[in-house]
Amino acid sequence: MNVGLIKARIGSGETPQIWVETELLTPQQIQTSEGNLISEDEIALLRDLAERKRIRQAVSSEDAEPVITLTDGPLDIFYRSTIQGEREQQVQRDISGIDEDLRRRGVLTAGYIDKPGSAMLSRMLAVFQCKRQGLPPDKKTDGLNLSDRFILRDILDQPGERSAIFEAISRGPKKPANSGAVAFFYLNVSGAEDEPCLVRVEFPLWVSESPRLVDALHAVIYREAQVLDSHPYPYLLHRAHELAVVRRIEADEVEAMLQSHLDPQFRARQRQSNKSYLKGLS
Amino acid sequence: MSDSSHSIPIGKLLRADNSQFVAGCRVRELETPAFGSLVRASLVDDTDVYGLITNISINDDGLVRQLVSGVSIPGEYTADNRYNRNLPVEIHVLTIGYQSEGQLRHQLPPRPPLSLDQLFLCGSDEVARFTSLGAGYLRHILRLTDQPIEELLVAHLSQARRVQDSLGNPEWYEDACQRLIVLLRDDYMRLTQVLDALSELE
Repeated sequence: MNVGLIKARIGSGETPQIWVETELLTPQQIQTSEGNLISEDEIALLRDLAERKRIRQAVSSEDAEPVITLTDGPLDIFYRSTIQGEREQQVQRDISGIDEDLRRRGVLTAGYIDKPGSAMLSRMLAVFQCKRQGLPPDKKTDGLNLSDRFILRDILDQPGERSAIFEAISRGPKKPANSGAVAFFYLNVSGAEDEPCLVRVEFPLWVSESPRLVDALHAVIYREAQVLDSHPYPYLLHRAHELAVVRRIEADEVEAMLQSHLDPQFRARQRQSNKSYLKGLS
Repeated sequence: MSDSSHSIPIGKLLRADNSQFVAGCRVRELETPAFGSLVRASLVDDTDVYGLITNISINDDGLVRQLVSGVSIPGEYTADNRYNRNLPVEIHVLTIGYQSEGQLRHQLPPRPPLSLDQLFLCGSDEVARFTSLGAGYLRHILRLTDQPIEELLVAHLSQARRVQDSLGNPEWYEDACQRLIVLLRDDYMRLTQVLDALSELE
């Protein structure tokens, strides 16, 4: 599990600091109580947790305010997890501790969702319609389930425009009861007027109580995305991914090292099939 | 092996053959090596391979190409690409001699340097010692076909001349020019170009 972190002082001209931390998960960490391997989503959850822990370590009291942290994906890291039981509760405790610590230090944590496919606005409007018609809010309608990007693409048509702030309400079974409330806005990160590129930026609800912080987050995210303006995406987020990514050749080498540790003759015996070798000649 | 206590390490070998090699270095190390400088790669068997820097190339990749097409690049991200990202600067070196068992020769070495052998910039003492053996090594430079040899000669001879003059050997430079004339006596056009370039040192 590789975690990459990059820390930059915007406007300083200083070389950003970078960290890469690698953890080799033990068999106990990747197996359920029944002895099965945990899913990719659970691995992703553990990696998200590791990222949050590393971010907390990287934030210093000497950092100039506002301090903004940015991760790829929703702020709620449980959205895809099937992790359960004691393991889930431990992760929840860890996340809650990190969130509370960062909030207390005034750190603005944000999640960046590139090309969001959710339809939260559509569902919100459906609930509103149900209420107007005196129907139960969970009454299914025959209305179209339009994506948020589709709804907003002609509204946020100017570069740098952002939407109103929304609060994400999730009552699904995956979201822990004690997890922090999340707000979000949509932002057009495009630099061209006729090519809107909408992304979703999530942040803790407490940030929305300060227009200054919201404006700062808006400005920083847009500026970051414009650095790679032909394909707008926050430069620092791309670099963090670049630091963390494990290339195929690296994964193969680690696997070979592990195999040879278990079996000293592994490298001598390892060979491609003759068919595979000859295919590689073409 | 030469005394490297006063030599500045400037990179590590990437690839090599008997007549040339390429070393990589980080941008921070780029402040030291210069075009035409005399450098040395120290091998594990205590052999030193000497060469002249014929080219310094800075590679790009997809991210750098994206950045250069952007409207503006914050200074901290320029620094990030220069000092954090693993885009090595490549130093191309022409082999012009070697030293083995304490004996210096202006011939190609029996074996090229190996990957990750360290590259050092030669100080004045080494430049003096190497060039005092004579100017015969200039023939290696004249064999180049894809480099501006006039520029390389100017850069290298400028450094070597300074060193030899400081040792009270002003005739060394005249001897080197005479050697070039002899080596290029059958290539008048190239000789003219070389002498024209060297006239800048007068």
